[in-house]
Amino acid sequence: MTPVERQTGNRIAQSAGGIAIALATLALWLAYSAAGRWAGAIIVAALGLWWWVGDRRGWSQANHTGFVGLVCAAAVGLWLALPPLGMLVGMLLTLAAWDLQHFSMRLRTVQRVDAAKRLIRSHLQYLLLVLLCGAVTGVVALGITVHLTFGWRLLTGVTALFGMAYAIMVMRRTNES
Amino acid sequence: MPRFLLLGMLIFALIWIGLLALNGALLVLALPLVLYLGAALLDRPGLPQLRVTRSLSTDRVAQHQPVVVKLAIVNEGPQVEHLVVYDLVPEGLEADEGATSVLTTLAPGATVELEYILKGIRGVYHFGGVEVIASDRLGLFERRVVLPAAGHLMVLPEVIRLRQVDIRPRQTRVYSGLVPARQGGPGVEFFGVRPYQPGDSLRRVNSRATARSGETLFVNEFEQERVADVGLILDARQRSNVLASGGPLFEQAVEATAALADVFLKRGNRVGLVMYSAIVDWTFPGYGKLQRERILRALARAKTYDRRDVKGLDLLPAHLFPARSQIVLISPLQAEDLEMLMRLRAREYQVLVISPDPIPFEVESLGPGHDVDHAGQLARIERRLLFHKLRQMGVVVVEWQLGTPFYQIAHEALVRGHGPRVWR
Repeated sequence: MTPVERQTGNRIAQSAGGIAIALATLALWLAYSAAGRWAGAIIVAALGLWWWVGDRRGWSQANHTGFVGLVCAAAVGLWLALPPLGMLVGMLLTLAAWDLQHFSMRLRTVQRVDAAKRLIRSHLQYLLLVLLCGAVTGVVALGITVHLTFGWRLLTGVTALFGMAYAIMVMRRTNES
Repeated sequence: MPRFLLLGMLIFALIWIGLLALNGALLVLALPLVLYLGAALLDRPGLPQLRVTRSLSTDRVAQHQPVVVKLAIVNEGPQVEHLVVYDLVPEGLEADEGATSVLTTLAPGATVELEYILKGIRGVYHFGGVEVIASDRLGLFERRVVLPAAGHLMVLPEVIRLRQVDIRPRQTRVYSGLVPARQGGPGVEFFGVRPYQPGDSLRRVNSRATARSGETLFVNEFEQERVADVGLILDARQRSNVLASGGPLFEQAVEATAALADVFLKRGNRVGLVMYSAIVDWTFPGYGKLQRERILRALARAKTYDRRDVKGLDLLPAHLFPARSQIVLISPLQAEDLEMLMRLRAREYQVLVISPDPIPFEVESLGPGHDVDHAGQLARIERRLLFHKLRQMGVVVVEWQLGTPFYQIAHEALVRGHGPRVWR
C-alpha cells in the first residue's frame, strides 16, 4: 500500500464523515425551520458547524461533542413535537457521521493501511447495514403505540438502568482486558 | 471518554427521559443507537493471539547511521477485523523511512510485516514491545495488549579521525611505539651524546663532540619511542554539563573522548577510560580494536549524574592508572578540581586537560543584561586564574571554544610544533 493509496482512503472516509455531518445538520435544521423554531435551527446549524470545523482542525473532543449535541437536538426536537421521521433521519445521519469521523481518525493515526479500499468498503457496508436496520425498526416502531402503566414503566426503567450498568461494566472489562 | 461509554449513556438517557416524559418517539430515537451497540457487540474481538518477532540489521551502529528494523506479526488465533500495530520506538531513535504502525485485517495464520529505517543519537536502546489494538469493525470495542518483541541497539558516538596527538608521559611501556620514552636508544629524535661503544655504527659518530674532547669518540644517541599507558577521564558530572547551541556540552566532550581514544589506540598505546560522575565507570586499559570497541560502547551508555555531597574530583580513583603514566581529562573544570589535579601531578602523572569552555553558553542561556555580562567576565577571570595555576603545576591545558571543531583544536594544540605546548 503506497502512501498515496492511504491518503486516498483517508480522504474518502473523511469526506464521507464530512458529508454525513452536513446531511445530519441539514435534516435537523430543516425539521426545526419548517416548524418555525428558528432559535433551534440556529443552534443546530452552529452545532454542525462546530463539529465540521473541529474535525477539520483536529480538535480532539469535536467528534464527541458534535455527536452528543446533535443527538440532544433531535431529542429536544421530539420534545417540541417536531416531525419524528425528520428527527430519526437526523439521528441516523448523526450516528453515521460520528462513526465515519472516528474511522477516518483511526486511518490518520497509523502510518500504513493494508488493503485500505477493501477495509473502507467493508466498514461502509457494515455501517450501512446497521443504519438500514435502525431506520427500518425506527420507522416500524414509530407506527406502534403501546400503553404502559406506571408499574410497567418503572419496571422498564429499572431494567434499562441495571441492564445498561451491567452492559457498560462488561464492555469496560472487555476493553481493559 | 470511551465511545461505548458515551453511546451507553446516551441510550440510557433517551430511554429514561422517554419513559419519564411518556414520549415513545424518544425511545424510538434510542433504537439506532441500541442496534449500533448490538452490532459492535456481535463483532467484538477476542484477545489477540499474535506472535511477534523483531530483527535488526545490526545491533551496533554509529550515530545517525541507518538501521533496518523488521517486525513480523503472525496471527495464531481467529480472524481480527481491525488490527492496529504500533511499534514502540525508544525515545532518542527516529524512524526515517517506512512505517512504524499499520492498520490491517488479519486472517488466521496470516502474517503482517513492518519494515522501517531508524536513525538515532548516541545511546543504548532497548525495544519495549509492540502495542496491538484489535477492534470490531465499528471501532467500539478494543482489546489492547503490549506484546514482547525484544531488541537492543547500541548507537556509538561519532569518532572524529585525528591524525596525531603527541603525549610525553614520564614512563612508557616496554614495547616500541610512537611515544618518546625519555631514554636513549634507537629512534628518530636526537636525545644526546655518549662515548663510543664497540658495535656502534660509525655513521652515528658526533664529530664535533669528539673533536672537542680530543681523546674520546662520541656518538649521537636517539630517543627511544615506545607505547604508553593513557588514562582518559571523561567528566560526566551533571553540574559540568551546559546546554550549548550544538547540543549538550557533554555530547561534545564524549565525541572528543572517542576521538582521543581512537587516535591513542591506533598509535599502539594502552588506553583506559574513566567516566567520572556520581559513579565511576571504569573501562580497564587495553590495546587495539577490541579496546576501541569497549571504549566506544562505554561512551555509548555514558550519562551525566550528580552527587551533592561530592563537588570536585575527590572520588577519582587515581590508583587505577599506572604510575607516572599519561592522564587526559576532558572536562569544563570546576574550581574544586584543582586539588585532585594537584595530587595527580604530585604522583608524577603527566596530565593533559581538554576543557570545553562553558561560559559563552551559560551567558547566552541567561540572556542579555549588565549583571550577566559582569558575571560572565568574573567567570572568565576565575577560569583564567584556574588555568594559570594548573599550568604552573605542569598540567597542560587546552581550552576548547566549542565553536571550533575538535579536530582543529587537536591539530593546533596537541601536535608538537603547532601550538603553544609546554612539555615538561
